Amino acid sequence: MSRESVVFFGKGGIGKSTVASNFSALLGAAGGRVLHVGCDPKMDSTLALAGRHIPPFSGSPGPDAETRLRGFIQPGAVKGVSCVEAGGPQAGLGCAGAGIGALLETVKAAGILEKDGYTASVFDVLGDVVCGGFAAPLRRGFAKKVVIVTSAEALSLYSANRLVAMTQNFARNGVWLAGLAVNCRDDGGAELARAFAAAVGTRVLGILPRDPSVPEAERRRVPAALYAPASPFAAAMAGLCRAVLAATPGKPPKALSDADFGAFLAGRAPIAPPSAPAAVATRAGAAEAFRRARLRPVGLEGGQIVCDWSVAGGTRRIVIAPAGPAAAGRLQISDWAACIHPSSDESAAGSETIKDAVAGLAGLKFSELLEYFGGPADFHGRMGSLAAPGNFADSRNSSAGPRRPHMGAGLWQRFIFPRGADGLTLPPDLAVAEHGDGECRFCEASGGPLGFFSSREDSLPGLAKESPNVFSTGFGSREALSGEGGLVRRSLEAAARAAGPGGLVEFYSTCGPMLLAGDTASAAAEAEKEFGVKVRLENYNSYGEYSAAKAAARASLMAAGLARGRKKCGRPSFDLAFHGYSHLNESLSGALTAAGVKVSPAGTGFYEHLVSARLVVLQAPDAALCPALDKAGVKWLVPPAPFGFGGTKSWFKALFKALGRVVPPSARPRSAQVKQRLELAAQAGRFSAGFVTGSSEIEGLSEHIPCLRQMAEAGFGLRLLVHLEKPGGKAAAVKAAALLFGRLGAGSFKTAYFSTQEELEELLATPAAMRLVYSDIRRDPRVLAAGKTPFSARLFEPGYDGALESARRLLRLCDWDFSRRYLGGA
Amino acid sequence: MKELRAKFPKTYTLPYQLGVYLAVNAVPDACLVLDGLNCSLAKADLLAGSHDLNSTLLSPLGLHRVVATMSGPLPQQDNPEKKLAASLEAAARSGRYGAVLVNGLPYLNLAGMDYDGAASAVTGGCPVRAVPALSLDEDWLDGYDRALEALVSALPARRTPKKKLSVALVGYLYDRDEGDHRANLAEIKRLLGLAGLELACVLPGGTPFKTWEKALSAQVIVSLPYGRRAAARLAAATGAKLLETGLPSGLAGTSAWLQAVRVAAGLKGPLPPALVAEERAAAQSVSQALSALAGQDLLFAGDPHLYLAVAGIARELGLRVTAAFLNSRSRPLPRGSAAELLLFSPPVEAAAVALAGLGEYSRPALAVCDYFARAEGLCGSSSPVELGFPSYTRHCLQPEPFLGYAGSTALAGRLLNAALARRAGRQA
Repeated sequence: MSRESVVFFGKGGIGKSTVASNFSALLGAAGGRVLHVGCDPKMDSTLALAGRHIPPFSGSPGPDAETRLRGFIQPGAVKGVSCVEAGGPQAGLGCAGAGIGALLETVKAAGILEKDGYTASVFDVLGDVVCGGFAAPLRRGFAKKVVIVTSAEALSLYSANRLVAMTQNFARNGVWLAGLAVNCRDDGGAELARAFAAAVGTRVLGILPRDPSVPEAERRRVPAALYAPASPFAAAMAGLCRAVLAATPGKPPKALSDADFGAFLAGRAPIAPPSAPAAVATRAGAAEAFRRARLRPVGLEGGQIVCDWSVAGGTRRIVIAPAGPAAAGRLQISDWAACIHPSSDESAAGSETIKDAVAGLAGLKFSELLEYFGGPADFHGRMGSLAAPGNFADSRNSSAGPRRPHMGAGLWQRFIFPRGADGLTLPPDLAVAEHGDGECRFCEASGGPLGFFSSREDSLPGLAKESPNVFSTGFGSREALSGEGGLVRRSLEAAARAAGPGGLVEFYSTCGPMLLAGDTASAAAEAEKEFGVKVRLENYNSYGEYSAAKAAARASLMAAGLARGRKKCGRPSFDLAFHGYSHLNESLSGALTAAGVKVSPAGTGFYEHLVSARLVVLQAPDAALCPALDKAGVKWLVPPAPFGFGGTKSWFKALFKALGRVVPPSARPRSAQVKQRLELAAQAGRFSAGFVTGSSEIEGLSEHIPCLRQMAEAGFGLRLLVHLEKPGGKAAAVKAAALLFGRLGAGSFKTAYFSTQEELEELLATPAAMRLVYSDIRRDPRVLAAGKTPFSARLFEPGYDGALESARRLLRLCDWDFSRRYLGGA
Repeated sequence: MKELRAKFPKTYTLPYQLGVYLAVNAVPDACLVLDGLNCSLAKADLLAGSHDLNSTLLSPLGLHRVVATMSGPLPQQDNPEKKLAASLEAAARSGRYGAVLVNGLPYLNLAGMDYDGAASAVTGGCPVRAVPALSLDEDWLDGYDRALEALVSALPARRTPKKKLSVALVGYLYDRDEGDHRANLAEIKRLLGLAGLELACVLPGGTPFKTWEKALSAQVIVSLPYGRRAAARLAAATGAKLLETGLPSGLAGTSAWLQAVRVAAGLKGPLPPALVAEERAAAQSVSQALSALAGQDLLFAGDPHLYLAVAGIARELGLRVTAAFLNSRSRPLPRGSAAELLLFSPPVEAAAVALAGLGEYSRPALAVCDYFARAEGLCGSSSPVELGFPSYTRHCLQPEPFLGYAGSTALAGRLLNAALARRAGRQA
C-alpha cells in the first residue's frame, strides 16, 4: 500500500480537526498505521484520538532529533493511530509557525514515517494559514493531498479560495488539491459549495451533515465515526474517506481573484481579466521597449535601473526601482516606481515629467526591464540588481566613500577604499547587546591583511565578538519557538549592570527577533527603572553606525563621563592626548618630546585620559565624542594626516597652532632629510603609479588617499585612470582631474579614461614606466594580470623619516619585476 | 564588563553557515545563494584569503561564489520566494556553476521559507539543492556535512557498474586549497595505490563538481567524519559498500585505516610489504623526535574529529593529551579518548581558567591548535603548532601533509621544533 499523506486546511472553527481526526480514526480502523500530526497551538487535534491532551513537541531539528521526537509521539486510544502535536508558545509569544516547521523538519530528518512503517500521515493545520510555518506540511516530502474543509458561509469560502491559491504555490512540491470537505446545514449550502468548487476547478469530496453524535463524541473524547458508527455523520465521513483515498491529481484549480470572488457570491459572472501586455522575455525585447520609450539604460545602481531620457533641450536621468513605499517624487508604475536621479539637473521635475518619460514602459514588469542587463547568463548582474537599494546593498553608501570591497555582486569593483579610523568610540559605561543568533555574532567583516573585506591590516581576524563592550545574547531555537522574554530580560540586566548606574545600554534586535516582534520596550523600561541606566532600542546589528539620536545619546553619556573625569583629575597635566590615533610613530612623538610637548600616556582610564591633556587629537571626527568633548570644554583636533613632507609639516603646524605655540625646529625637516628627499625624487622621476577611480570620486581622492600627495611630492608620475560612470561625463571628469592636480602641486600628471573592463585592461598594461597601480584589494588580479605591482596605503609611513622610507619602498617596488616576469598576461 | 562576559561569554565555537561556506569553497564551481541580508557574507572573510590563500569564494570583480538575496526581515513581501526563485534560476542557468546550493538565514527559515521546494522547482541549468537552514541548532561541522549531503544529492541518480577496488572518500575537510590538503590527498592516493586500491575521488577535494560523478562507480564509499550524512546518502544511492572511518593519521592508525579499506573492498591478507616498509621507514624518521617529545603533555584545540586523529598521533609519540578544547557542540567521543580536561564550545575565559587550574604535572608544554584558540589564550604557556581551521599564521605554499605516514612524520617534525623552540625560549 502506498503511503497516504493528507493535509486538512480550513478556516478556524469550521470543524477541521473533527474531520481530520475522524479521517485518521477510519484509516486506523481499516488496518492502516497512521501518524496524526496536530499543527495547531491549541493542541486539540489529537484530543479525540488520544482521549487526552498529549504533551507538544518541544524541540527543533538538529542533533539527536530522532530520540527527542520519539518521546513526543504518543500511541492513540484508537487502533493504528499515533499522535504528535506541534504545540506552540503561549499566546502572543514566540512563533507558532516556526514550531510547526521545526516539528515537521524533525520528522523528515529522522525519517520516522519510513522507519516506523506508517501507511498514512495526516496533518491538521490551524484554521487560517498566516505564515509560511503553517504551510510547512506542503513542503517537499510531506503531504501530497490537500483537503480544504469549508462551510457555505461567505468567510469560510473566502478562506477556502485563498487556500486554493496557497496549494497552487506549492504545486512544485507535488502537492495537489484533492477537493473540498463541506460541513453544512442544508442543501442550499451544499449547492453553494459545489458552485464554488466548480468556479475554482475542484470537486466536493463529501458533504458532512449536522449530527448530534458529533458534539457528544467530542465531549467523550472519541472520534464520532467510531462512537456512533450508524450515524449519518459516520456514513458521510466514511464516504469522504473513500473519496479522499480515491482522489487523483486532475487539472490544477485556480483561485478566484478578489473581484471574481465578490462576483461569485453576488451570483454574477466572473470579471474578464484585462489583456496583459506582451511580456518581454529577452534582452533584445527589453532593449526595444527602452528604445521605443526613448530611454537609454546606462547601468544599475544598487538594484535600480538608471537610464537617460532624451528630450528636447537635453537629457534627463531617470531611476527605475522596484516598487516600495510611496514617496514624494516617486511615481508608482506596475511593480516598479520611477523618479528623477538625484544627480540629475532636473531634480525639480514633477511627477508628470517622469510619467511622460516612462509611459512607454508601463506595461512591463521590473524583472522584464532587467532583461536589458542580461538574462540568466549574467547571474551576478542579476543578483546585483535584485539587491534592495540602501539595504547593505554595497558599501558605497558611506558618506565618506566606500570603506572596503562591497559584498554585492556583479558591480564594478573599485580599487580605492578610504582607510583609517572609523571614528567610533565605545566608552566603558556603554554596553552593547546584540540580540541575535550565532550567525549574527559573526556578521562583521573582521579583515586581516589577507582578507577580502580587509578593513584592517595590522591584525588578524578574531573570534567574535571582539570588543569587550559588545556581547551576543545567543538567540536560538528556544527563544524563537517559546518566546524571547526571559533572554531579553537577562541580557538587559547583565548589560545594565556592566554599564553601571548612569550608563547607557544599546540593545540591537537583529533580524530573527525583529521578525518575531517581541515586546522589548517594556523590558527596557524595567531595566532603566531598576538599574538607573538609559536603554536605547535599535534594529539590526548596527552599533558601528550612528544615527543622529544614537550619536546624541552617546555624546550625552560621554559628556557626563568627561565631567566626572575632570572633577577627579583636576586641571590637565599634559599637552596632548591621542585618542584612536594610529599615525603616531616614534619619529613624530620624538619630535614632540624634543619640543617639550607632554603627551598623555594611554591606559589611565578612558575619561581620565581624555581630560588629562589640553588638546585631544583624533584621527577622524567622531559624531558622538566630538560633541561630548565640546560640551565638557575639552579642546580637540583632527589634524591633517602626517604623510609626506608637506603632510607632516601641516600636521605639526596644526598641533602647535592649537597649542598656541610656534612650530619648533624639531618639527621641521632636517637638511639631511631634505637632501635625501631630493635624491630619491630624482630616482622616482623614471616611474609612474596608476590610480584607478570613478569620475565622481576624483574630487575627494586626495583626502581619501593621502599618499597621492606624498607620491607627487616624492617625484613619481601620477596616472589617473578614470572610470566614466555616465555618458557625457568626460568634460566634468577632466575638470575635476585638473582641479585635483592643481591641489597636488608640482609633478607629472596624466589622465586616461575608460568605460569598460576591456578598456581598463588596456590602460593598466601601458605604459611600461607605470610600474605600480594602487589597489586596496589584496593581490588585485587585475593589476597582476597587467604585469604591474599593486600597492596600497599600508606601504606608507608617517613623518619625515617615514616619507623617506616610503619613497625607498616605492622605488624598490618599481624595480621589482616579479609581476611583470611571472604574473603578467595571466 | 567582566561580569557581563561571564554571563554572556565569547564562546570557542563557529556558526553553521561557516561550515556551509567551507564546503562551497572546497568545490571550485559550486555557488551558494544565501537567502538573507549580506551581512552574513562577512563570515567569508574568516575563510577566503585569511585562511585559504587560493580561495575563489570572493572575487575582486564581484563574481562571488556566495551571494545574498538581500531579503530582510521586514516588511515581509507579497511573495518572498519570488526573489529567491529568480536568483536560483539565474545561478543555475548562468553556465558558471556545476552545482548551486541555497541556504537561508534563521529569520527567513522562521518565516517558513520552503528552500527544498524552491530548489527543486528550478528547471534547466545545473542542479540546485537546499542545505537545511539549521543555524539556530547546529554548528559549523553540521553545516559542512549538510552542505556535502546536499551536493551529493545533486549527483545523477543512477546506479553505475562498480569499478572493482575503487574507493571514494566522502567527508574530507578540504578547508583550503593549500599545500597541506593537497599533500594529504596525494599521500592518501599513493598509499591506497600501494594497498592495491584505486582512489576514485575525494569529496570534496578541490575539484569541480562534475568530477564527483567518479564516486558513483566506486566499490567502497569511505565515510570520513566530516561528511557522515553525505557518505551514507551516496552509498545508499549507488549501492556501494559504506565504511565509516576516522582520519588516516599516525603510523599505526594509517596502517589500520588502509587495512580496513582493503577489507571493505574485499581484499584479503595483511597489508602489502611495500606499505609495511613505508610504515617502518616513517617510524624511523619519527623516532628522531621521540627523545624531545616523549613524556610531555599536549593540549589540543580544534574540531573533535581532528582531536581524535591528533590524540592518536600523540599517543604514538609518547605525548599525553591533558587538555582538549573542542570548537563544536558536544559530540560523543570513543571510550577512553577524553583528555583530563575536555570542553566543547567553552567560553574562552572559563577555558583559560580551567587550563590554569590543571595540576603542575598536567599543564601542557605543547599545543596543537587552531588560530582562534591561540589568539584567545586557550593554549596557556604551551608552545603551539597551528593546525586545523582557522589557520591564519600558518599557510602552506608547498606540500605539508598531516595525514598518512608522510603526515605523521611532518607533524612529528613540527612538534619537535615547537618543543625545541619552547626550550630555547626558556633559556633566553
